[in-house]
Amino acid sequence: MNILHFHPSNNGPSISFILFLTLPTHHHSLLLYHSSFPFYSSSSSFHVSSTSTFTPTTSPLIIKQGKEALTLITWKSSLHTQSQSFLSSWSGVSPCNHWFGVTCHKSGSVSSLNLENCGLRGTLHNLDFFSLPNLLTLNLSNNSFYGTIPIHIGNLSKLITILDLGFNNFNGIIPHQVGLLTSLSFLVLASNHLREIGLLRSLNDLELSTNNLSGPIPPSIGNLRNLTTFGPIPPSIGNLRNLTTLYLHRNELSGSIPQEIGLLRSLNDLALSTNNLSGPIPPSMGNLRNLTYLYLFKNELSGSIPQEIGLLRSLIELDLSDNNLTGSIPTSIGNLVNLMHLYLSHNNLFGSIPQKIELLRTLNNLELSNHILSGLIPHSIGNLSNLITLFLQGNKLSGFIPSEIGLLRSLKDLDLSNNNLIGSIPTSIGNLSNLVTLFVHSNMLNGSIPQDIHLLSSLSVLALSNNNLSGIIPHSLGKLGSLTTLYLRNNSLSGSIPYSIGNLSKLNTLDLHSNQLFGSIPREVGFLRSLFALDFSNNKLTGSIPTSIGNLVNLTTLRISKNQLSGSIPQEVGWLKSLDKLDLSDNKITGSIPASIGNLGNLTVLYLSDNKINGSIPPEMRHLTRLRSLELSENHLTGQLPHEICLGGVLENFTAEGNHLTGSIPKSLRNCTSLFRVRLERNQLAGNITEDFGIYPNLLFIDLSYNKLYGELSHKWGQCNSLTSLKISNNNISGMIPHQLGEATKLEQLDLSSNHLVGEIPKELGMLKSLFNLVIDNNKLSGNIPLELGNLSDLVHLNLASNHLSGPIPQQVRNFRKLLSLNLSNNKFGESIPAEIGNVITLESLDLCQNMLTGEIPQQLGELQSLETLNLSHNNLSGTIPPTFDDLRGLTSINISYNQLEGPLPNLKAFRDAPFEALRNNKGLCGNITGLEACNTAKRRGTNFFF
Amino acid sequence: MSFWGSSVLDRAGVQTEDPISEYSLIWTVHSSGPGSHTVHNPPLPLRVHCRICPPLQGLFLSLQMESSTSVLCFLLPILLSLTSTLSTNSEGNALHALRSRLSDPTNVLQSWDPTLVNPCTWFHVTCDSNNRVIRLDLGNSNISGSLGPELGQLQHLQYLELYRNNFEGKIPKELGNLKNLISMDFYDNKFEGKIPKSIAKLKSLRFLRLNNNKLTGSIPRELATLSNLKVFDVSNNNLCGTIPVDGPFANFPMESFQNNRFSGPELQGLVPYDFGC
Repeated sequence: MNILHFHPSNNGPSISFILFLTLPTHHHSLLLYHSSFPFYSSSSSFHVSSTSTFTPTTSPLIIKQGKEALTLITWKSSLHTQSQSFLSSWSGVSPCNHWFGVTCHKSGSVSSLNLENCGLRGTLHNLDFFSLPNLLTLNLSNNSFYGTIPIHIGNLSKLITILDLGFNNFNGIIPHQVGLLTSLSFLVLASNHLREIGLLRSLNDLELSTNNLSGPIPPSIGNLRNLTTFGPIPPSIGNLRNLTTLYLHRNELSGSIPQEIGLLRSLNDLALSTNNLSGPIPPSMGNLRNLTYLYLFKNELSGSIPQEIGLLRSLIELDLSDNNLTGSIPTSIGNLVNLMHLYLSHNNLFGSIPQKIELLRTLNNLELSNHILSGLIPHSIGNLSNLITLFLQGNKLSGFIPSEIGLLRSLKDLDLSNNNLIGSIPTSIGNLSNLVTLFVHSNMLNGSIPQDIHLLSSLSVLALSNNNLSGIIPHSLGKLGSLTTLYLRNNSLSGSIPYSIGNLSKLNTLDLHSNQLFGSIPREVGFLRSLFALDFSNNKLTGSIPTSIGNLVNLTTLRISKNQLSGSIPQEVGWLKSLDKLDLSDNKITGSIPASIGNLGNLTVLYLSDNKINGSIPPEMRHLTRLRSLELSENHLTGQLPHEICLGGVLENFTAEGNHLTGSIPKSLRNCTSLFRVRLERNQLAGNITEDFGIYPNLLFIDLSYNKLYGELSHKWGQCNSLTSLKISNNNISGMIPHQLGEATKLEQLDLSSNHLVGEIPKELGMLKSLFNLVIDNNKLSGNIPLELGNLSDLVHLNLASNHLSGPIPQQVRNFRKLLSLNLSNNKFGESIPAEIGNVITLESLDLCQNMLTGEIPQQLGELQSLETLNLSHNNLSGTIPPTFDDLRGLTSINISYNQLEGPLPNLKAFRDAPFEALRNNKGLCGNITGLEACNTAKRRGTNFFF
Repeated sequence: MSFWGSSVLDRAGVQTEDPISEYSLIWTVHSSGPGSHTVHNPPLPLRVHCRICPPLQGLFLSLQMESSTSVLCFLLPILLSLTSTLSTNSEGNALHALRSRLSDPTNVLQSWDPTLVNPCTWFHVTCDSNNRVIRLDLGNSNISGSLGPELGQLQHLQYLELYRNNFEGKIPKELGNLKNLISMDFYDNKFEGKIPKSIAKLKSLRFLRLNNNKLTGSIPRELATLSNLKVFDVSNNNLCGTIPVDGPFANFPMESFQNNRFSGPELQGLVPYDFGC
């Protein structure tokens, strides 16, 4: 007798059990599993039918009855109030007299208590089992009993055969005393919160061996002959040599599978799947000659598949998938001639697919996916003519797809994806008229899509993506009327999109991304009313977007970016009310944005950038309150940005740079705390930004450069804790640089150049340790360079040019160990050039021109091995050019004009090739250059190049 | 931040982001269990397994259920795996591929967001006005890892500054494709292997500093054809053979060659240049 139990258990770490022992027949089942099946099969009929019922009669043993009544009433009174009222029939002294759920023995003693599914709530602690000496059945299943199973459960009658406490909320361990109930034939403890741990530790006691079945499988479970010889378990149960079914799946069993499992020679079905079992598959399993079903999947079994598996000639189904098995597939697998289902997927098997697999002629399902199998797909696979499913994906299989695959006429699902297969798709694939899914994506297939593909009339999914397929998309593809999904992305398909594609009325996904398709988008696409997602991006499509696209009302994703589409955006796009993502970027689209776009209230992503869209942004865009990403950049848009652009408060990415937008910063941006990235540079935005911006905790990047913004910088920028890049150059910003900016410590780029900023450079900028670009040139900043800037050791570009800065160039410049360019030109810096600049050996460009620097050029500048451009012009530098300059071999451009320099020029091409304008107006430079005097050779050491 | 889901395949096979949340979710339900054996007691465990399906970049959830041989295959393309549109952004792809090789403990590469339309706003990457990468400045950045062939795709690169890091492995020969390169500064790293001959194709090269690495082999003679080469330093490596004397090598100071295993200046016609290697 076999009974099914499915136990819903949603209680996290709790473990549910069914212990199920049956006596009467030759086929015994031992079940102990945890499951989350959402239904409960008809075990209740068993409970009822197996309970012997006897008409209660008047008993001479009234005293005994009275004691039993008292026992039950005592227990009843311990239950929750509602439960007590449910058991209102429990009153008086004769439980046999129509007490609900109570059945009595002829003798008048209670023989059965059946309270299944009564909504009772309470514990068992007040139920005196000792006082129910003739109880044969106790069924409390499917109630809300809680607490531990009391150890005095051992006081139950030694004759009790049925104990069902399943589907309650019992917790704790299963008491050993259950083992005293030696007549039990049916024990259900399933679906409680019982913890098995404590139990397992004591499992040396064979009386508890039924409990041994949870937790790690102890070797004793396989030691079935011993079990039969011990007392408390009836011999016919314990004679587990006759066990035909052992299901322990979906528990949390750990440890390895004991060798002794091989002693269960009567086993037909063995399911240890979905546990945490580790270690190897014991070769002793080869003894289980009667095994028809072997499920070990979803464990952590390692080692190789033992050759002995080939001894299990009765096997119908073998599932070892989702383990850590290694090694090759044993050739002995060819012996399993009755096998219908072979699942070995998701292991680490290597080697090739054994030729002998062709012997498995009855095979329906063959899954060898996700390994590192290599070699060819054997031609002999064509012999497996009963195959319905063939999964070989995710391996390293190479070579061609054998044309014999066309012999597998029963095949419904074929997945060869993610291998290294080459060659073309065999035309014989057209024979697979039952095929429902065909996945051959992510290989290195070339050639064209076979014409005969249209013969696959049942085909629902066709995935050919990520290959090197060329040629056209066959017109005949339109005959695949069952097709729901077509993935052809990332190939080299050319030609136009066949209009026949409009016949694929069930199509919900059409992905032609990244091919070489040209021509226009056929208007027949508008017939694909089931379409959810359409991606034609990155092709060479021309013409305009067909208005028929407005029929695709189920579309959630429409992507036609990176083509050469022209014409305007059809206003019918506004009918696509389900649309979530719309990407038309990088085309040649003209015209204006249709106002109907405001109907797309579900839109989260809208990309229209890199087109030639003109006109103004329709105010209806304010209805797009779910927009997370809006890209309008690099178009010809005019007019204002809609003030309500962030009305929904979810806008993260907003780019509209490179347009002709006017007006002010949208008002709604101020409180748009979701902002992450904003680019509005290169427009004609005007207005006072002093109060336009708030605090954006997520903002990473903002660029407002090249506009006509005025007002002052908000101190709130300092509170944008994520900000890495702040660029507001080339505007009309006035006022001071707020010292609070020093609090935006993530800042890496700060560009405030070409504004009207006044005041000193705040010393707090020295706290921006991550700063690598500090560009504040072309303002009206005054005062000295704060020495704190010397802390910015990551600076790469420092540009303070064209301000009113004064004082000396600080020696701290030596700290800039990454500096590539230093521009201090056009200020009022005085004193001499600090020798410490020579420490900045990374420097490529040094511009100190138009200052009031005096003294000699420090010889340490000769250390600047990377220096390419040097401008010291328009200062008061005197003396000779240091001879160390001969080492500046990388110099390409110099200007030392308008100083008081004298003496010979360095022996460098940059000086030799310099125009006179770069050298003029010095005190006495000499060299072989037009406009300069030739040098007196005595003035210069060694050989002089010029003579 | 990605709004389309990030691309796996557009980027030289570099897998990024969370494949489940980003990609289309496709569920297939197909049979397993005891197959057509209808009353198989007790029923076989529900088997759920997932596989990522890169072209779809989808999540397949296969529910293997009892007593159903027919394959129910329904697909819910909740999102097309709309990768960010970078398939034509080969430079961004190349840089992203580079990033995937590197270890970046100080998050210097944090701004390298592959979903952006080009890499021009990435920090330490500089583009020209046509949005082509001309500089890569990663000197002094605590980066480790190796370079790959993808760097060769940065056709407009002028400055490749990787000095003072922990780069290791070989210098890819594909760097010879960087026809516009002016400066290649790899000094103070752990590069090993030979100096690729292909560097001699970089006719604009002015700075070539490979000093303080673990380079072996000889100086490729072809480098003597680099007439623009002004600064050359291979000191502190494990190079061997003789030192070229032709072309720009006539002007390089001896310090540029010290601490190697060179057998001296080349004696043309007398000793093969890789003598002693």
